[in-house]
Amino acid sequence: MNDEQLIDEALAGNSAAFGRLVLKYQDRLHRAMTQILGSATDAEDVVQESFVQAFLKLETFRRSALFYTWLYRIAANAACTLARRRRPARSVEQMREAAIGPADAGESPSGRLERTERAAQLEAALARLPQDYREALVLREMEGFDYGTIASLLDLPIGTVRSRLFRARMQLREYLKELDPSEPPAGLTAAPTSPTKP
Amino acid sequence: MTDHQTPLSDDELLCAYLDGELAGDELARAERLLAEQPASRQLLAELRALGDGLRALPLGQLGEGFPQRVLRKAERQLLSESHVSTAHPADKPPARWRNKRPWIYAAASLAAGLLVAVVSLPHRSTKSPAAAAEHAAADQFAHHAPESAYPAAAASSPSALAAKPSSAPVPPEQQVGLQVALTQLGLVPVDAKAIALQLELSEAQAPATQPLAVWSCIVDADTLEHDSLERVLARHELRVVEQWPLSLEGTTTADAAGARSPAAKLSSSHAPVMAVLVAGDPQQLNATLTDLRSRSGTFQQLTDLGRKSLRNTLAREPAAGTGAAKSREMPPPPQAKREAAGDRQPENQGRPEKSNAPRSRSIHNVQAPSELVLFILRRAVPVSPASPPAPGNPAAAEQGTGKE
Repeated sequence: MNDEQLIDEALAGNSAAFGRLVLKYQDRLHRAMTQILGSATDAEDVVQESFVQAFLKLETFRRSALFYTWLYRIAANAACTLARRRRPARSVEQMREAAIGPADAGESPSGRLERTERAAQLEAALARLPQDYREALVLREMEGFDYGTIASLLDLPIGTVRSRLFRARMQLREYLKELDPSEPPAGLTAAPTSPTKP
Repeated sequence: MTDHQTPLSDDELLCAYLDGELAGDELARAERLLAEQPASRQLLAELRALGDGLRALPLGQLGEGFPQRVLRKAERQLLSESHVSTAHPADKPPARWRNKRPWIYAAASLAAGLLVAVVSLPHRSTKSPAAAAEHAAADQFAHHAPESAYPAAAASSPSALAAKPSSAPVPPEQQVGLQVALTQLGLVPVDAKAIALQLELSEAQAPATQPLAVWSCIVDADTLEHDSLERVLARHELRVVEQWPLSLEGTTTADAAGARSPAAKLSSSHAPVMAVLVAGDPQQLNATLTDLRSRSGTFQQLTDLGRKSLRNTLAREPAAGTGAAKSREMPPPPQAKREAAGDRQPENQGRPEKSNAPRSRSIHNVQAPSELVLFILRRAVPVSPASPPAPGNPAAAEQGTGKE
């Protein structure tokens, strides 16, 4: 059953259908909000409140956008509200420790450590970015939205989105180099690309 | 996509190229750069690796129970809006939900099924509630329920509990046990009907005396609003059976009555706002209490209010503050059962039953590998209406708004 059908079912009074939408998008939205807010606990609050609001206002969803895009906008507003009264919370680091999960079968202890360290470095660098830049980067790289959608979500001109993304990437690259000058960004081997279209 | 007026720098152009957002002349320019300049290719590779790294960051796992938490919260909000709309007709919930009461009931029935499954499981303890109350608070559950006493360990898991919904209608008298437990504590649920609703759908498997441990703590508005307790419980794989908003009348009544109720052990400056019923095995509950104690900034003054006996009928109220000690098994009077049922419930709401006739059904002490705990969440309010905060004392003025 696709999103449209689940929404129809939910509007007809089948709450389980909405539950399936929650299950489908909860972790994706939580990751995005965690990176934007810098706190897994705050992100969980925002995600829960966003789904509740989406459920209560589902009949106002006009379906001109994807459900997730609409949901994300609700979450972004909730995140702004929460950020104004932020409290001590579970850090990204704690979230990562909890979420990094058990080692893959066959992954060596050193491999797991390396994976954990890479993620830690990247998150530390991401957390240093100004929120505006971080949000644009999360929307593009983690959420995969195109510039037009990001511009719509953030209520910005496309040129500003492009500019923020550029600056966010450059700053992130610099921060990572500061953290570990011997490694390429994100600890990944970045072979020079051939001049082909992405 | 190009809406800019000034030419992009080479690096900015490569970023847009990476995102597939170039066309026409800009695309041609980017491709030329990449063909001619190794540094551009290196930058593009680094940016691509950066994106790969971001996408590889671990997803936080909210768990399969998260949708249920969302729906439960939405349901509470709907019920709350319905409650408000009664008093303020102009502020009604959306039309969709005004016509969807059956849906709300259906959602409620899910919780009801869980509750019945919990209370209908056999209880392993043959100790009297009075004996149970003697256990130390810190290890209350571990002492009261040694692990070895649970032959069917699997049945104590939340999933096992959830897998036992019942189907028969519940005798109305069973609808009121929890409400009585609350009123014994001097608390008044805001929506008593909602409690009846939950239990109504639960079945006549009817046990009906079930030990109910009661704990109280003081929380701030954020903790309430964001279900912080629920998250701690989830961390210990505990399930919230149900929760109800409580009215301030509970405090007022109890205090006016001489502060004899267990609830009145706490300062009257802390108003009860929420009752949260939790089921789980003793070890889980013990670990949860330890966890809550370690979060003393969020859950302040975590206090053991003793044990109550959850009955399936309107029970004669034991003396306030000693409910657990005075609870005892009563023989089941044949007619009193129906007499004590739902019709009487509204008028007894919030105050003890006055009849001398023992109304409690005896009820076999069931053996269950689960315990029920009722958390009473309180929020600070001004100490006394007679002593309002001084005008120049904003900190005091904020008391009661949950911003302490």
